[in-house]
Amino acid sequence: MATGAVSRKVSDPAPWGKQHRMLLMNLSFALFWIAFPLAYLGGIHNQSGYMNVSFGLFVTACIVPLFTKK
Amino acid sequence: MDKGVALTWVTWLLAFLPILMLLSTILFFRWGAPKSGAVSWFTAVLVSVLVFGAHPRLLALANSKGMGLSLYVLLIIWSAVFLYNVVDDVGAVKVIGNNMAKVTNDRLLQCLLMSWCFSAFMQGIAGFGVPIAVVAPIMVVMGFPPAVAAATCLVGHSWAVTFGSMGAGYYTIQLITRIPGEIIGPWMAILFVVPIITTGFAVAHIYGGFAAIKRGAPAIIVTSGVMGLSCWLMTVIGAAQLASLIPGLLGCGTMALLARTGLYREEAASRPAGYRIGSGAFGFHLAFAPYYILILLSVASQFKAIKQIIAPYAWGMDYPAIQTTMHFAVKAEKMYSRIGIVHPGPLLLMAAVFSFLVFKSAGQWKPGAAVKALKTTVTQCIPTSVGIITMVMMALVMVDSGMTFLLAQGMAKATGKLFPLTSTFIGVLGTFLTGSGANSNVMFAALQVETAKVLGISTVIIAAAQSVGGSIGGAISPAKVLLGATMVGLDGGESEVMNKTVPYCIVVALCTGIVAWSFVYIFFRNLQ
Repeated sequence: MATGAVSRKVSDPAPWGKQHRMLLMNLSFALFWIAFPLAYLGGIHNQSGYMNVSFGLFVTACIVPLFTKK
Repeated sequence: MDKGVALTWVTWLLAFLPILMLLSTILFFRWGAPKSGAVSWFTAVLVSVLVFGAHPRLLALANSKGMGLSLYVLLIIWSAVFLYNVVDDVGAVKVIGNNMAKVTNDRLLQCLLMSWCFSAFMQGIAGFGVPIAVVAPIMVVMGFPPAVAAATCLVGHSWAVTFGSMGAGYYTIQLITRIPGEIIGPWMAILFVVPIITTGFAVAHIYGGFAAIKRGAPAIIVTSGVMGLSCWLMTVIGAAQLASLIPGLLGCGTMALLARTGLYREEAASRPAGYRIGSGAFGFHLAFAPYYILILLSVASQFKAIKQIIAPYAWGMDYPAIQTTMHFAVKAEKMYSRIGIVHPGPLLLMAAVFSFLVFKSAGQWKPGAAVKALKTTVTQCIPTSVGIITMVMMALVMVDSGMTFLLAQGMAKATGKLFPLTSTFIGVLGTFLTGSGANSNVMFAALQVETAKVLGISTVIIAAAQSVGGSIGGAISPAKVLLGATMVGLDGGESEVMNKTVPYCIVVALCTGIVAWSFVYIFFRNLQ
């Protein structure tokens, strides 16, 4: 089938952000889900500890994709 | 109720900043959705705190709502992609595709059948570029020029995006706008009649110009009628998650019947040398079994008796009322982003389990297919999921801090009576930017509904126009265009494909906008 999946010979090594894109995305994805219950509990019970930790995790989860190539 | 920050040019521009950030990073820096979404979320948080009076508790609740909403949408996406991968791994997708190609020898009908009906069916079951990835290469093998195959699939499947992926976009707009599905669904289906017809004619025009339009007109009109009616029917009976799948399937059936009429028997296919169809390892009905099961489960879940039994088994979160320091009030929510057994996610997973049993008993199951499908699903879905989460969180921060409301006030003032015309294009813009109709609804649905409220016009029709626009935008989304061009072997030829799809997308969006405007100001002026 002519899917056109063109194979390219790449002489230069792939950039770090491209090489580890999947790993970084997995990390970011995991951080979001860890932060989710903390944000909910913090918001519902007005607990600044939970809120701060969740916010820190959300910020980290959002920073991680910025290191990827795409 | 206090409405928060006052509307001025400066506050409006500041409220627009997160969207501008998203726009500029995607268009000028060519970033993917996860990166652009992340930067836009940072911007939204910063502006909401510094200008709109958001405080840590409000942000925690808004982000948590964003995650809850993401969970709802991601469950559908992950389950749909998993089911597709299972079906693909056992070789059933190839069998389905080959059987579709056998339906007719007429080139124009083949083009319409594959790119307009079959791709809509594929959008119904999987979405997220799968129709382009599956149908366009088959069309190339059938002898269609690569650019035509990619462009027709992009334009042809675009009417099916909202109700596609088991209704991901449809469920998203309900959650964002709080308009119940039984109200917005049928109106969306009515408005979708315009894109169904116009995309049919667009496909014919891409294939063979005005001569093809003239020749294909009877088939397009009849099939549009069947697909439009069945789409509306699915929303009325409460099976909106099938409102692309069933019409796509019925469209294929209608095309097959039309192929037997005197109108479409003359032009024989001229296929490339070496092309063979129907080389599947097993029959069509077995290959199609997962989708028969899915249809059956979806219909069964709508029976009142079954609904009553499973209704208590649902999960959702309650949120308290809260307000910003600038006195913008956010209402309390009960069972926010409610997920029950009739949610498409569990239905899709049940279909996958039953499909395993069917393929296993027929001796067609490949050992390790489920694990392979799961691995492929994770690889495919995680980057998409990060993009969706960041954008949904950005949208919820904007909504709960009053930024969306302020944007809506400004837009209502600027566009006035022309707003319904522009609302379709706003939906198109959302999908162009994010590559997903569901994301477009997340980004702009609240803004559109708030603007409609400010203007005192029907929120239902405007929300429907947003979602239809988001669907149409699937034809020009750079991610899908890139996928289409790559799959047909036009690596680097994205601009050729894009140039073919953009004019049609604009025409379809304009026609839909005009109809939405006439609904709002002429035909259904009293609709809420």
